[in-house]
Amino acid sequence: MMFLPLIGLSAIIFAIGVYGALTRRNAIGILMSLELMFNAANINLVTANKYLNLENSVGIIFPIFIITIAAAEAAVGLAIILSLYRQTKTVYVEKINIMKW
Amino acid sequence: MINHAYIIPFLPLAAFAVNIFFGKKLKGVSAYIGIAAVSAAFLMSLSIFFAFLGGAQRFEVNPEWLNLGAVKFGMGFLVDGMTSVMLIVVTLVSLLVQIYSIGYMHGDPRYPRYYAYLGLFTFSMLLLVIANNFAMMFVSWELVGVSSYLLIGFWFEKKSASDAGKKAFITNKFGDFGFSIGIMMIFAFCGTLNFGEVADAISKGTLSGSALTLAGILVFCGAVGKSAQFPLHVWLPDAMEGPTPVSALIHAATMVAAGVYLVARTYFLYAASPTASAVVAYTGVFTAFFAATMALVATDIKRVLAFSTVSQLGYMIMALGVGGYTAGMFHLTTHAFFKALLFLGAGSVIHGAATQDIRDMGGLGKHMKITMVTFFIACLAISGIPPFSGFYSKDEVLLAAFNYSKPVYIVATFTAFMTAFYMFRLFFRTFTGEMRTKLHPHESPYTMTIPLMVLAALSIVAGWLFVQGHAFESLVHFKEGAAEEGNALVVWISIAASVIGIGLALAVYVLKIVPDGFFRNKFPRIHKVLINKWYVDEFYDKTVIKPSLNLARRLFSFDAKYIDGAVNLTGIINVVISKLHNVFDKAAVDGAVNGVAEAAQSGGGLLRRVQTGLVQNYMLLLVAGAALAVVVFFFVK
Amino acid sequence: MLILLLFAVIAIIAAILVVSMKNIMHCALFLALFLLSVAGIFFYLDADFLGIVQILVYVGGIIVLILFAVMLTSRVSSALLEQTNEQKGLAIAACLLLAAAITAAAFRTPLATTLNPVKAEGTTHFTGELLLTVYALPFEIASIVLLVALIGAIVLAGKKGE
Repeated sequence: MMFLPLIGLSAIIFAIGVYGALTRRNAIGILMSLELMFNAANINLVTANKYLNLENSVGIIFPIFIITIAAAEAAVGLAIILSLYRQTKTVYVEKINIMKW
Repeated sequence: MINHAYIIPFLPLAAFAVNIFFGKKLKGVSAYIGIAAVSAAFLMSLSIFFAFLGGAQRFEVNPEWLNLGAVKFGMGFLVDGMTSVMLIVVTLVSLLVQIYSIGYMHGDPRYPRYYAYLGLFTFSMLLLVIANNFAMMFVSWELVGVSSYLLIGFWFEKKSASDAGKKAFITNKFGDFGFSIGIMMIFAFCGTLNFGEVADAISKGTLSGSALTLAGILVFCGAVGKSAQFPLHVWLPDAMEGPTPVSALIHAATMVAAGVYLVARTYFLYAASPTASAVVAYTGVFTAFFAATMALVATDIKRVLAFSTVSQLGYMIMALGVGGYTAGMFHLTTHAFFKALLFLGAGSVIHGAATQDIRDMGGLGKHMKITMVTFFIACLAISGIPPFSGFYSKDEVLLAAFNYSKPVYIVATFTAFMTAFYMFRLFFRTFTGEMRTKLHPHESPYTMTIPLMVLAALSIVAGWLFVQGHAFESLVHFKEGAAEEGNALVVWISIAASVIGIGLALAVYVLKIVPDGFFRNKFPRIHKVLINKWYVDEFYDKTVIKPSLNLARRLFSFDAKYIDGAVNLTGIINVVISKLHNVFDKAAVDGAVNGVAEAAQSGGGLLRRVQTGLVQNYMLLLVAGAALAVVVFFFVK
Repeated sequence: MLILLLFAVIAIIAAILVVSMKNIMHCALFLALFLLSVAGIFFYLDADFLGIVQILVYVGGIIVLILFAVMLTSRVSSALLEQTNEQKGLAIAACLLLAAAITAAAFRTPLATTLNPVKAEGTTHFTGELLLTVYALPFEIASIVLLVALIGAIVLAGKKGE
């Protein structure tokens, strides 16, 4: 029974993603870390679908929507980064602090 | 198609929405949007109408709208033979009026808005027609009131037009007040507002006796207001300030017919209460007579038609009151066609001759052939000359009156005589003889004359077609039963009355056997009373408007003297107390407040350092918090 | 079982490299490796369709997108610069705590685990049927979301005044 180990795997990957999002200075790096977190969630769902008795295969359908949203998020996020880069000539998040008082 | 009758009202509503929001951009196109919507509605109505001619059954949908536990309200629609006839009347007249308006309203700065209002009006009227309960009826009833207010006051730059709009609206409110109380009463007794269920309750005796009579009379109050029956008829002549096509639509065919339709739709109230139906009958016959006398002397072409409308509506109401259910609705249908024709013809005359006073007209027939011929047909129809449509319906109305009570019948027949006289007075003064003042009449454009021709054709054949095989009776009947026996005497008397009326008009205005002004000089007092509309407006001014104003003024002066005095005294006392407070505030309260503010400021200065502006800092705290939350939730018992 | 273990190890190592490499370009390539191994895990767990979507959309689409973004902004993101900020230590502590807490919570939650039988024709057929019946509405909404994101991205990234 690989249920709990797989849940643990997804927890570890999620934590790595969080770490990346917390420490990366490059905005693109943060976006990649977000992808890690999405994948951790997907692994979790697919595992649940395999080992728990779920109705209507929620565990397989839901990741499809998550991937869709992730794709949309990546497109918009990268567009924002590009547009920010054109304005400020940087992709380092701590330099983009014009909202700070 | 019958199952989807609810779509019909929403087509004009869509046109309204488009025109009101995009009117400025659409400009001239707005007319075609309105016409397209109402044409579609007309075609749907036509198919429903033929379905009922072919023997379709009454169809009702009543989905639940509001559930208040013990009390449930439905909100659906009801289509039966009567509805199908009304749908045809409303959509057809609306369609023709909209086509006509292309020419009539050409160049008006608020042209798209005009079409938007027409759409709103048509929507409200159609909703009223397919309503299946009192609540929905009342809502659409008020919507009709609002849209007629907007249309009567369409040229609101003119003081008289905006006043007329207000007058129409407020006068109607008097009637609606009674109507709404009647609805509440019905609801209190029957616990439902659905027409069919109320009718069942009445047949079971849940609502009976004097309560039923009172409810019937209260509901009739609504009809009195909207159908301009005495004593609430005063708004209709003034409403002629609106554009003439609007008069044709609202004050001839549809809105004023709403009252008649209401009585017909709630006929179960009157069928069960002879007293209530007697009130209806006598109100109707009195109004018919009363309005006809005023039409005899009016000199404004539209006002003559307005009084004639009031009179004819009185006829319909009377017909319903005397038990002529089918006759009343039949007269409504034929009247819608020929009265719309008369109004549109009058509009054409006004458009061509640029005056509304028939004393200034004369000899216009030479210049406006189509208008004259169609107007002539309408005059024959309203006078009840066979085989025009008015003859058939008026004959049935008179027959019903004859079987009910002889005095009512005699007054009604005398009214028919007066109707023939004043209509032909109008016709002869307008179209024949010599021109009395210098006018430059010209025939109207085709967009205006084609609707006239269509309506003229309908005025000729509608009556005859509907009596073939009792077609109308099969559509609109209250109870199954044999048609009333025809009565040759009634027919001949009614024809004679009309012919005498026409002959008299001919004698006075064309052949000049009796000199013009003969009656005026012989009976100056009666003439004065009539020209002043029986002083009803003055009576209202003295009894209702002046006293309300006086009361308001008295209340105002009372307010100014005593209430204001008391208020001011309180104010002065307050000021003194405030002065005392002020001293205390400055010393104690301000000190405390400033102290708190300073503390907050210095504290904020310290805490400001935490706000780094780096999102990742915040997120770190967030993650740590989330992890701690998990730990606390699962591991700390 | 061994395959799963292999993929899991590759995934974890790749993930760690994604968040710790100095060169952002290498990070993106390791992200691709990570995504492929996750796809492998999906295959192992009978989610064939999902695995293929993972490869097509993620590896084929999103990674390419990220690479483009990296190259377009590469002038300042040279490997010489410090890529992580100064809250590294605190972040590691918080993340370890998070991972431990989640795993422990999973272990302490009693769930009735059963091994769902593998269908002979795989799950793809069933998934497709569900997407067009039960989940038709979310499916359509997701497509609209994608369209909006597409337009939004064009508006954001498009040059002004052209």
